[in-house]
Amino acid sequence: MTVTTTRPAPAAGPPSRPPRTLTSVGRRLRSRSLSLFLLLVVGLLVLPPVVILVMSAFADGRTLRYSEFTWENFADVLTDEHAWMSIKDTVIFGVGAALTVVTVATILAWLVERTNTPGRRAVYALLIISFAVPTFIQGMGWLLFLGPGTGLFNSVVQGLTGSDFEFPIYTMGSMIFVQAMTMLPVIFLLIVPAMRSADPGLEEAAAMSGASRVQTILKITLPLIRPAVLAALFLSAILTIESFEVPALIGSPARITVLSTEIFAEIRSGVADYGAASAFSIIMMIITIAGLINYQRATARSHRYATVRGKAYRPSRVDLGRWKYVAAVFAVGVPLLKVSPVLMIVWASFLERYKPPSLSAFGDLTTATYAAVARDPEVVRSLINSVVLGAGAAVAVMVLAGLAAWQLVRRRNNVTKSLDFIMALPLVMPGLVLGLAVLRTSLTIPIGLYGTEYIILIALVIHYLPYGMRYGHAGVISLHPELEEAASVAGANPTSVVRRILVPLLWPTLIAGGAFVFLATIRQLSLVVFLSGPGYEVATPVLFLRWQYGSITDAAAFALIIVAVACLVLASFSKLTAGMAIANPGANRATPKSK
Amino acid sequence: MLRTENLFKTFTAQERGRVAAVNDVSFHVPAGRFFTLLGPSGCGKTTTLRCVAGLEHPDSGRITIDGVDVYDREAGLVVPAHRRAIGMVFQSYAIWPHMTAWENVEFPLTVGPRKLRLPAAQRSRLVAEALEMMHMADLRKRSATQLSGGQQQRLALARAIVGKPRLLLLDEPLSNLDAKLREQMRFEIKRLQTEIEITAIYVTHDQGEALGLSDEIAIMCDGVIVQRGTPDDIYNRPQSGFVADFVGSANLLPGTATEAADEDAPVTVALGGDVSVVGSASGKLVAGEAVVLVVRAEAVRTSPLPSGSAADGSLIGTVRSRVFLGESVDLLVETLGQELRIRVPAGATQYQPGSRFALNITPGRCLVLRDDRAEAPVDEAAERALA
Repeated sequence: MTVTTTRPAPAAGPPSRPPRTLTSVGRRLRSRSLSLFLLLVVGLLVLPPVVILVMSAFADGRTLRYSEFTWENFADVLTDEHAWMSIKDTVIFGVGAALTVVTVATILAWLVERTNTPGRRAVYALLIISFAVPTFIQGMGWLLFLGPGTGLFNSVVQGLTGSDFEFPIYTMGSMIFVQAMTMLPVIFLLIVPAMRSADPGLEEAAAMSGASRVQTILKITLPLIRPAVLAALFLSAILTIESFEVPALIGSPARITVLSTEIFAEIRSGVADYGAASAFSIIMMIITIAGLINYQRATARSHRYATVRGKAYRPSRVDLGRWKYVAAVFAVGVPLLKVSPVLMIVWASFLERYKPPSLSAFGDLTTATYAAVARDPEVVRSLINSVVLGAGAAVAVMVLAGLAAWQLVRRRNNVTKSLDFIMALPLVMPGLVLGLAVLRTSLTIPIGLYGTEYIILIALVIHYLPYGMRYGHAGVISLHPELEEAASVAGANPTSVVRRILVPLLWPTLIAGGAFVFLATIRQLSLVVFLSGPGYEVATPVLFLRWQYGSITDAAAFALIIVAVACLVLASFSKLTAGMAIANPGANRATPKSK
Repeated sequence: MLRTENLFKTFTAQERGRVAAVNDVSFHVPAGRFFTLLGPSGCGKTTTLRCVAGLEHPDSGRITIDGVDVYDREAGLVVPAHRRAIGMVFQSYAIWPHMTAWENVEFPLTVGPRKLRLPAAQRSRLVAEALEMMHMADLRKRSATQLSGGQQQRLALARAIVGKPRLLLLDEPLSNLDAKLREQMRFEIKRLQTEIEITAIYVTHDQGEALGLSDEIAIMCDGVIVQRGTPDDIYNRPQSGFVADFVGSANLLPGTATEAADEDAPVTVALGGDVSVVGSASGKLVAGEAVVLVVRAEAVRTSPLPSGSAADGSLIGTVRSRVFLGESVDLLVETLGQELRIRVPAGATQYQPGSRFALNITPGRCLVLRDDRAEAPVDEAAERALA
């Protein structure tokens, strides 16, 4: 050949490195070294708390080291009629809330992503705003909004109709409704990518086959997003079953106990009974494992539905015609409804003593509560801790999950499958129990983590690995493998492929996932309530105590400060990273000079 | 330039257990040649190409590029894809959507060992040259997602050649383009390949592309190369029913050799019903052997039915359907209990469905093969390819 070789070729000149010779075992190890490393890191994080939890459930005494194996904890729990009621109510609660939230989220996602519904852009903003508010503060807002006595909704309806209407807030139905509303943003954001990546050509093909619009939705759109919807269904059921805030706020006054409030009671009523709490946790894990298996199946199935290719494509929107105004009422109404309890909190935060909104009460509005709360050193310290730990957890989770998801999607082997399983394992552990398990682990394995912020960071990372994995998985699946292969063939080594191709293409997903984890850690209560302590406290448990033992208005002001800080950090974070996303591939974006 | 020796690659399929995707494939491509792997989907051609690229590794065998081993099972040698200095065009184009056209092409020059990278000025000259060569110069600042399919294809080619690789691999590069663009890109690829004198390995299932572009074609079926040769060889001297059928979709008529014949010698084949035709033997034949007569559509002439009895040994056919192709008309004619496709000039109005004609197979224009259709896999694959 007469062509001059301008790229290093093994043939041209002495090779830069001697060609490596590898045995087949060595080659296998090398190609799996990243997954093996990830497996090691994640295994060391996730497995110890799981093992300690199981040991606790079968231990008789109060310290693990001196206990003997026993079934007694389970015998005690399962012979109790009240416990059986709790198990039943947990299942009803979980299934009910999951069905409600997924139905609403799917309709919303479809309206926002695939139709010309007016006002669809507002949906994101409204949902994200309310998502930043910690769940139990949302629950407080719902109580202020719908609750008896001072509830705004009741007084408005009573004023309009003249009846003595009372919203039945202390019922299972209300628990399901409020729980579904608190989960709406998460589930919505989970379904949106599937809605967005479904190839509109498939729907158009159905239309050309003679299917009506409704038939197209039922037979093409829904089946295409079914894996995502199923995954969302199982995830929301698991989230509900492990939730603690709504059952504590609404369930307890209604005398409806679920497993999480049962566990809380075992630990917080007088002398903590770790054995019974762990036994309840194991039962809860068995219920959630059933959900988890289905969840795994649903996500594995979504492999077959990858429709985004390296080729450009344009999503098209369904013209709803006159129906779009009905759709707009739904699309904007639901998020508005979700925001209204938050507005109640805003109202409460500007008062020194709580009273329901009315014209006469406007005169009492003041910022004094904010001033008092913001001067509190404990508040300031806990806020800083929350932000730093939340950001740390977000970065750690997305790095681990992004790499693991990439390995899993690109090379399915036993190592990556184990990695996938271990990363999903924390899903079966309710926040409350994981917090407890991590605490017990730090006491049982004395490596100096007990009584530090690191223990909180570790718990947060473990807890959010599965969620990070979902984001990473969805992101990697949408990338055609040839995009990476083209870089390899072009001469990029594996590190360059990750840095120059994978990370920039995955960047939106990583940011979305990181933002989710950050916001979720800020609002997290049940996971950190046992881990936070004087000197290393985080915001939500401090807020929880102040709400329990302080005033509604103080708690409301503190809550809104948390929300404001979270939004501020998030905004600056995404601004920063948006700049990086452009700067990164542009490292060699030197303006091309013509010859 | 490129040499593969005894490549084997098996995959674990869900239902069928281990399947040999590549089964003892060896070939040699001299420098500057355009070599095509042609075959139906699932025949192992893409896997073979990916093994050469280093995106997959064979279970055994040896691959040598430009005299340097890049894979050698015996020696335990594996050169990873990014150190093979190859250009490749993918079926999906794999244009990176987060880069501009310019950045896509520049990418191969910005990776690889740092000390071997070119200075910026030289780099932009090469990128500009590659874009120029593909008539993309004015689109350099365009974001990759704003390019049409044909432009993405050209960009993918520019990116593959910018580093002046020794070997260009093309994996069904035209299959996502519309017919007119495909025609145009076929010329572009050929022009590019001769202009920069690069060795090209091309994978396709389209016989037209293969015949038009290649210096040499290897036909693959079920992981095996069943025939290698120039386009002329492959088209005019297929060595098996599968090849004859896959390339140029010939009619295959079963019959019996009435006499022994040497290779290329004329031989009379009895087709049944007193009809016999003279073809040329593709190999040594013995009298009475079961053979297949390969009849190209354009090798059949029609004439009006002979008066008197039809028992004078000519083939009688009934037109079943006709397809207008512009310059010609394809007829599906039923004869001897099977369907025969023949091509007649357009404008002839006498060929209506139901009409009967005598069919004259031009002697010497059809090939006589030993009947290999008892070998089921070949035949099945052929049917799959035609379906």
